[in-house]
Amino acid sequence: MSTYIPSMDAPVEEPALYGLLAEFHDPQSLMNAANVLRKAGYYRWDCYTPFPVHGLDKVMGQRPSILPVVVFTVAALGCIGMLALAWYCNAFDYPIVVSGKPYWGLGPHMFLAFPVTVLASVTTTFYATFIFCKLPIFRHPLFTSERFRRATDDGFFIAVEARDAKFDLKVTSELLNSAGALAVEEVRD
Amino acid sequence: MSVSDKNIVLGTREQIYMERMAPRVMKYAGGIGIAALIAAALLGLALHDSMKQFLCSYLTAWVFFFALAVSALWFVLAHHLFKAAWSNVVRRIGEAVSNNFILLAILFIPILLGMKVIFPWTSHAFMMSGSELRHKQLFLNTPFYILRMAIYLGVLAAISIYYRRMSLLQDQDGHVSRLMRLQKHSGWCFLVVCWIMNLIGVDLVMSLQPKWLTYVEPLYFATGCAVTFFAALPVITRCFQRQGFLPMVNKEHYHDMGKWLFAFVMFWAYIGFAQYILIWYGNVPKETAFFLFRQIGPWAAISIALIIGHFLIPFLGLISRWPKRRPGTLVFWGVWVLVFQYLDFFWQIQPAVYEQSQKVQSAPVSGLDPYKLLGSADKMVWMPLHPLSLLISLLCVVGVGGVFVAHTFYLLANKSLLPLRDPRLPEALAVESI
Repeated sequence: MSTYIPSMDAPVEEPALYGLLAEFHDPQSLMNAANVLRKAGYYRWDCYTPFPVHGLDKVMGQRPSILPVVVFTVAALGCIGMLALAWYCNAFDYPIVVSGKPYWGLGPHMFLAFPVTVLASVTTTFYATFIFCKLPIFRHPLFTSERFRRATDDGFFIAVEARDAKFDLKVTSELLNSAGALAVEEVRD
Repeated sequence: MSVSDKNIVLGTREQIYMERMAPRVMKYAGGIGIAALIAAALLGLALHDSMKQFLCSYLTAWVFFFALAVSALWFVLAHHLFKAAWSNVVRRIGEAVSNNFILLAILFIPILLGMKVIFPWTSHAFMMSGSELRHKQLFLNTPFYILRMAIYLGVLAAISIYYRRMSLLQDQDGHVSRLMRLQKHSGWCFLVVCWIMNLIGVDLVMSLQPKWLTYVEPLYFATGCAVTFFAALPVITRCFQRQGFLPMVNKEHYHDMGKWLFAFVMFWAYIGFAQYILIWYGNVPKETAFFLFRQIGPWAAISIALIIGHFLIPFLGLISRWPKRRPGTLVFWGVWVLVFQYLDFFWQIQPAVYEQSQKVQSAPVSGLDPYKLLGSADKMVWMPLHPLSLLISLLCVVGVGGVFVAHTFYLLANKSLLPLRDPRLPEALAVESI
């Protein structure tokens, strides 16, 4: 286990510090470290794993997303809106008799309302996910780290951002080391 | 124990073997069931309608429990087809419930005895009354009907017994090859079961109105069947847990059961709507015959109640994550959907039995006005909603259900509630739902 030694002779025009990147050996040690970080009161940090680790969101203390509420609301509005539009066009503004059917019927207009509901929920899910994840991001400071490439293969990482209120280069790196990190490195933007 | 399950805790013997509870349940459920059936038959005799209401109620109850068994088989086959892991913890329940086809075949005998009362195509004169009916006689005749039912129930019984027996044998010898064989055969078995679920709907429901033509009713019937077990599964599992069995079933498993239930509630509504809208658009008399009686008076109220109670309310109730993860709420929705699924079969079968004696069946196709036909003269179509008829229907459900439950517990007794040597059992115990 290596220990982090802050460099004393930093260059003058050094890029801004993004945060600390800690590597862990396996999902279990990552979970333990996430537990330690959450209990220490850190807020701006994230875990990076090559595959979904069950229970990690609970250990990280993440609250459920509001995405379902947003999607349901927009889908319901889409359904009602389409029915209202169909009623306005076919039954109110310009009624036409089609094969002797009544101008207005909930049944046939469900054909319109159903796909519009689906379309509304799908597009809302897609774009709301983009917005909630702050996408698109064209570059990210973590990709400057050579070590971080293993996050898509066999590496388990925690990155604590420098803008976190509790962030302190020395204290945080010691915390990560004591939580079982294999290596801790600074990431600069 | 094989190597893979050395790290898991399966609980004590009392938690996976129903040694003391099963005989007690068999005694009480069987006794109550037979008593209820006798009471229903006596009430049916008292009505002096040549047992029509009793047979009609009995058929509804039989169809409901047939649906439970066939969808349990569907669940077991789907488990093997998808190589699912989580459902291992409740697979034995599905295997036991699906092994009731021989019992159901015996319970079908009263319906065969009373065929002439409820199936209009048993009358030769009726089948000769129209050109389209004359052609249908090739399919709708008594010997072929009995042969078909024997084949359907026989094939379902064979598949369900094979799947249960192999699974139980694996508990003894632990051969993974048994599981592999079950998985290999699950494809075509699944297809055959789906066909039978559709085809038997033609015989049990559509043939009550031989003049009626539709393409969706078999699928609608099959979908209704499939809903049943997924509504019953959380209820059964929770009941077992309250008695101290299966402590390893947790909210992750309930979440998965809830997803199945939600999916089939949606699918039922989708197919029901598909059938209604095709008939509405076509507006052809021989297709609309089904909905004529069902959009007037109390039957219209039941039609609307089905849309709201079988789809809208459970849809809103189950759409979120938390109701599926809380066993209490999921059991509530399971019971709710079971009640409405029974109502759905009630709505499909009971007006049809009385409709055949109505003018609609013999009236010329043109100039058919159901409102005039039903307005004053014939009140027979409301018969199933008479309090006495409803009581007979209730007694039939209790009766067939009691015998069904007794036989299911007979199958569960002294057999492990978990497939102990299934290689995916550890995965099932550790499953997490997203």
